[in-house]
Amino acid sequence: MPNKSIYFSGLMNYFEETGKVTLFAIRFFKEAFKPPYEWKELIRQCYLIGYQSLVLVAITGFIMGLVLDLQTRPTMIEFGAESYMPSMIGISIVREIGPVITALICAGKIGSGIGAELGSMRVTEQIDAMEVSGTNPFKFLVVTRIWATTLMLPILVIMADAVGLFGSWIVENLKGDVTFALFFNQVFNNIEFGDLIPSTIKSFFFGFAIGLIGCYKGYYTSKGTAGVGAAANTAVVVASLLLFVFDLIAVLITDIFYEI
Amino acid sequence: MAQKIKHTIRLGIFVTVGAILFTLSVYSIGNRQNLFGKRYRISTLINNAYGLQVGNNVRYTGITVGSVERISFRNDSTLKVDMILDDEVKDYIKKDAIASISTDGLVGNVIVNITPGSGNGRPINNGDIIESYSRTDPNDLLNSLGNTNENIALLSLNLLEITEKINDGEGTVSRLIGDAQMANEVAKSLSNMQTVTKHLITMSEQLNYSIKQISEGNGLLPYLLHDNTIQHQMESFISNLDSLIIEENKPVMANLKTASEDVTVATNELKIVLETLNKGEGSATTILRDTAVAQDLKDVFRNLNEGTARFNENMEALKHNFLFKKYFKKQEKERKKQEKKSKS
Repeated sequence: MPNKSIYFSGLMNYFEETGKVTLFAIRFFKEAFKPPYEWKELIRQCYLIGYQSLVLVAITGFIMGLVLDLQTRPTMIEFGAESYMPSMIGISIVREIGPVITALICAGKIGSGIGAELGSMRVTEQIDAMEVSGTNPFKFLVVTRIWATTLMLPILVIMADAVGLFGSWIVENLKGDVTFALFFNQVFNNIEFGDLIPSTIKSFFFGFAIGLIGCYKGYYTSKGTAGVGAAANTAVVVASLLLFVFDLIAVLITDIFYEI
Repeated sequence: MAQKIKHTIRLGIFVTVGAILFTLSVYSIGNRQNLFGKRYRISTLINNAYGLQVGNNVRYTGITVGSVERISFRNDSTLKVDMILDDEVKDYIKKDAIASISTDGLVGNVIVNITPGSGNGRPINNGDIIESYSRTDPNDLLNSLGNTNENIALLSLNLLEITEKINDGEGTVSRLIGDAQMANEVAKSLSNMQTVTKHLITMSEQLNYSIKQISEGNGLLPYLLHDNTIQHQMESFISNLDSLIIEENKPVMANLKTASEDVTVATNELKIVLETLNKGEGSATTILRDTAVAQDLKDVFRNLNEGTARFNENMEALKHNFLFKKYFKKQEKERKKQEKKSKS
């Protein structure tokens, strides 16, 4: 039987972490809009985070569309609603599956990468060295990475949506003889701004959450090289958890404005 | 440095492709909602939206031409549906077009369907309100289907009973199916009917021939049918007969008139007598109404009867009296003589 004080200290740790993350976010906003801007580093991070995640996200999206179609198709045929497949797949991918799956993949790849990179920099005192040399490490390392994830994730989501729909069309074409034009016509006939805009907006928040948690965990890494692994691990776990929380909030807000 | 530029270019391509995809998506959705092209608004008034939402498609003759822009209350039972339509179809939708709420397939989205009017109307203008008609409520449809199903169930139950009876050999139908003798009889009946029909055909042919003969041939019947002089003669004959009857009947009618007048007079007199009787005046009324008088009269008649009976006895006694005997014998002889004479 664990002692009550363990729960209490756990709760206190949670609040402490939440407070620290909030302060970290506030600091990001303070630094983000204050010159000088680290454009080169931002572009480099965008390349590393966005472009270099494209293949992974594209493959995931393609398989996601393929599998979703294959799994849903028999049930839809059973109900005599085969013709509604494109619209159903389109709405599912654009509204929910595309952003969430892409964000989870990015949390795994980018969140852990940022956490490990910044963590190793912290434990090898490179961040300290930057401070000594007069460079603002927060602005250079944290702000650029959070901006990069925030900006790149929506683009990755759009790519994943497109590739996912393409994968779904392949199944439809092979099994149902649906043309490319008809498939995408039906998809866009049933997608509203209420589907596309909220999912794009929430993708920004997903990117922000991944970057923020990855940077926070890496920036405040301690306990040597073991801490680096822990930072990478917790960055992925916390970021993934935060994604679902953000998703829930996004759905509730969208429900208010668009009456899904 | 070259590597950095290469990375930057790749990033640029990545961002551009993403931006293009996003723009295309926005354009596709916006285009469907006619956000970018020329558009115009029309409205319709409905009683039930059946779940219609803003953004649902508007179709004209089955083609998507716009979308629902707004649904608002006009009053407690009427809704106003504002629609944005593509400018290209403006000339084809006339003012007498009719809007209705329907579904895209059996389980699809709710849509507004515009059906063309007579085709002679003027093209619709921006802001016009077109007529609408209420579709059948699916619930009503399901209710009527439910009733139909119940009826079908009852019908099938009855049918089952009938087939069971047929299988058990009850009734005429089962005999028709199972009894070979009856089947033979039916076959014979049919054969007889066939013969009868043949005879009927022959008869009708003969009848036709006869009618043709009558209508076209000679003889008394066609003459009677076709000759107008006979008709005129018949008419004059009937007219003469009428006048004859009237002339002959005149004295009879006069006598009848006199007789009826006499009867009327007699009836009036009888009426007066009866009224007098009813009023209780005179001895006749006393005799009719007074029971004591009636009793006295009865006694008088009884006494008279008795008197006459005794008188007969006296007369009989006189016959046997020697004084009158001769007279009666003489009378007897005279009577016999008369009888002989009458016989001869």
